[in-house]
Amino acid sequence: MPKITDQIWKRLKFRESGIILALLIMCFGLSLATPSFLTAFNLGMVIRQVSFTAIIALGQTLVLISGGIDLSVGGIAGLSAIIGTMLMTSTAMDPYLCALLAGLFGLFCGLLNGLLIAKIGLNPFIATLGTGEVFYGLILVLTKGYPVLGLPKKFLWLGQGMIGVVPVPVIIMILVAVIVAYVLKNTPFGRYVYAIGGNESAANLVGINVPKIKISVFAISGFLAALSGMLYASRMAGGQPTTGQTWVMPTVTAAIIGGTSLAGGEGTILGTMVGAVLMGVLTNGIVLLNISSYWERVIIGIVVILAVIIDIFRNKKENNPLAYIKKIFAK
Amino acid sequence: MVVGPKLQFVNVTKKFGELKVLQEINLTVTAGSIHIITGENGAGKSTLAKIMGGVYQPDHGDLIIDGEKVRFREPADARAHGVHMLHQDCTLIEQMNVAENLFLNQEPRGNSGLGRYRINHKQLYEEADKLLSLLPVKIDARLPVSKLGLAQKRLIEILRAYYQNPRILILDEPSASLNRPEAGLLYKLIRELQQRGVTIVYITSLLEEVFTLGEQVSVLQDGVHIGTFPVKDIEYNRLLTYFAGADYKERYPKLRVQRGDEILHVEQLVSEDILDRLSFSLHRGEILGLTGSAGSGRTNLARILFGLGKVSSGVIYLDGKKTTFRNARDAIKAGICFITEDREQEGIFPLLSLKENITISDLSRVGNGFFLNRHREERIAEFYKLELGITKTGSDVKAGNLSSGMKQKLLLARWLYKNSRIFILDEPTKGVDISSKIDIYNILNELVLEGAAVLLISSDLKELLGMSDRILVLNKGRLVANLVNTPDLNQQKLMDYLAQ
Repeated sequence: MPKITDQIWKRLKFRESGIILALLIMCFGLSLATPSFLTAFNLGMVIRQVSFTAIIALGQTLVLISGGIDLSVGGIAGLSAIIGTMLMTSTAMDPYLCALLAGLFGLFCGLLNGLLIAKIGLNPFIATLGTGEVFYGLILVLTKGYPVLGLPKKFLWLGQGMIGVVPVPVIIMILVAVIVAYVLKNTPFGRYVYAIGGNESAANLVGINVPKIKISVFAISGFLAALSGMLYASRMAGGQPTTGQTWVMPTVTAAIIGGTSLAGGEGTILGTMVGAVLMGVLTNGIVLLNISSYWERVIIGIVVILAVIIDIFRNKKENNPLAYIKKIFAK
Repeated sequence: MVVGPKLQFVNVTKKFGELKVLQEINLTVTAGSIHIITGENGAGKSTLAKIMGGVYQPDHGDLIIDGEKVRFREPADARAHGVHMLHQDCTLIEQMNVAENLFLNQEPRGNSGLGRYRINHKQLYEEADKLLSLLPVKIDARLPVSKLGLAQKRLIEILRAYYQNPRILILDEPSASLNRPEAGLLYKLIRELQQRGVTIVYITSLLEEVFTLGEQVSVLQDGVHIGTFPVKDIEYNRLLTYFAGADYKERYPKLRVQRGDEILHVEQLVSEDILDRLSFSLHRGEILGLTGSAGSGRTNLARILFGLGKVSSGVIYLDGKKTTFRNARDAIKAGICFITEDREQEGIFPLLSLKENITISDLSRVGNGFFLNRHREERIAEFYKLELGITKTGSDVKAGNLSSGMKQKLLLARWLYKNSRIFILDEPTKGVDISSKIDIYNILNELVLEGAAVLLISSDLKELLGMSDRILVLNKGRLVANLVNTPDLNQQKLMDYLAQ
């Protein structure tokens, strides 16, 4: 007869439990340390702040699970935002139609990444590093460094509006997360993404159309980056040439902290969402605790490295990190 | 002549999961001898070698060298005791030349001040030439390793190990994929090293090597040490019985099935890299054996039949119709499946569960074509698990954690579920324990009973003789034999075709 505590433990011991626990502890600590953390205003701000990169992180998670990485998401987000806002200010088209076209443009950029990687055989890291640079560069070519201003009022709802008490970008983030999570878990496409990341040669031999799946994954990533770029443009009431410059790192970080393996084949959307929120709370904590914002990147970098170390423990099937550390030093 | 140490195994037991690979091994390697350890695939020879070499640690029992108990936690510990092991795979660096490889990580240095950080190239090549003079063939010290043949690479690897002054040198199937004259060079070098006082432990599954090279021979069978004998006192047939066990005929539960229509016919098939005008046919209800040594083109043939290789000329007929496959997907659609030799790298999805590994071959039947139905998936998995006797394992176990035998059954289940008609199986029982082997043979019987055709590729001649209806022998890309498996066909005859 298994003990009741064992059963509770078993229930709690799902993949993401560790990171959820870490998030709860952090929130608890912050709410003790500063009264301004646990307020509706602050939490709303944190979650909205997170939503822009979290949406991209969902696509990044797909790419990572399939065994790739997309370093061009920042460039795609920025360039799509510029193209979308330029269409709005220089044509008479409905702004939401312009946003949709910008989304399709992002999808096309992702498609391009996918073709380079799956058809020509470029390494994903290098391919997207290169295309990302091209996209950043095109932003400057198009804007000469000036923001695109004068967006239609109607469009500002997307980034600034609320439904009830919840900001629109947050609603969109949750919606996209639910859809991507469902697709990943319950469709052949999702299964193939895991299969390719876990063992690409076996995937080929079992008859999976590997290039098609890879291209799709990058296309989705590109589309979500563009979506996020548009949300941000709406939030900022203009197309900023700097959009996306600092977005790549948080998307990879959220996924990795959430348990997605850099080697592919493993990862969940729930994990990535929790990872994204955790990063947001961390940044928020740095501000609230009056730590110099110069330290922010240092702290985030350390957190990422810790997350990857935890990932290594998991791969070594070492349940007890302390025992593992002892083993390292025993050598 | 220096006399090396004596090495003893006392009650050594090793388990991998549930599978006992070595049971209570007691064995002594005499100083200065060439000691052969032999047994079938899966008998535990390599595991024993890896325990000696410090790669694995025994679960129970001790290793004793010169009366002193030793514990090797890693290969470096073993080397510190003078025990060096050579791996089956080549560990030379192709881009470097022979001398650089020989002295990798122990290059002769300059001797003063900063000079200690400089490689002394003059001395490097002098030492290399000295070492190379031990070889029965001439190899230039400045030749890049990528220019060497396999046999020469083996010789260089052995020399490299010898330079580190081993007292005991363990060689794990060093003659694999070498032809006879090449193997002869290897034997010469090994005898030379023995003369110089190195004790040699030589792992092989070839009985003829026991007689050409060995002084002592230990036979393993299913992880049990059957006995150690002086080679000069033992007859071939005795050794064969020890080797395979008296009951080895019962291991092949061959069913004779009425041969059906021709399903696959290959006519004058040529592939640029190796295959030379192959013609043969495969029928429903038939297990067609295929063998050939490494480099004979047997795997190339399998890959071509599965749409993965380039055909230069020749025709493949499927059900009497001319067919070309552009890729694996075309072949799968036509009802062909291919389970490669490398089930880890090219077979299972280690991170997916057992059931997901089965249904991956056809997810359209797991749901409505768009969404997956997990209950249906569970039912499908249960059905095939029962069918193939994978009963004790849950459907949610990650496939990477299963045993070799289980993985193989899982792959068969995958293609049964896909309703494949032609099963191309490359070494399906390699590294699989005996009881799973018999299960796999029974599955092959079921397949042919239901009208499928099996192309069984194997280097285990007993397996081919035990299970096939006909046997094809490939030699350097040419079909040298297409034999009906009658009772008077035996291993020796097949060996002759292989060695032609």
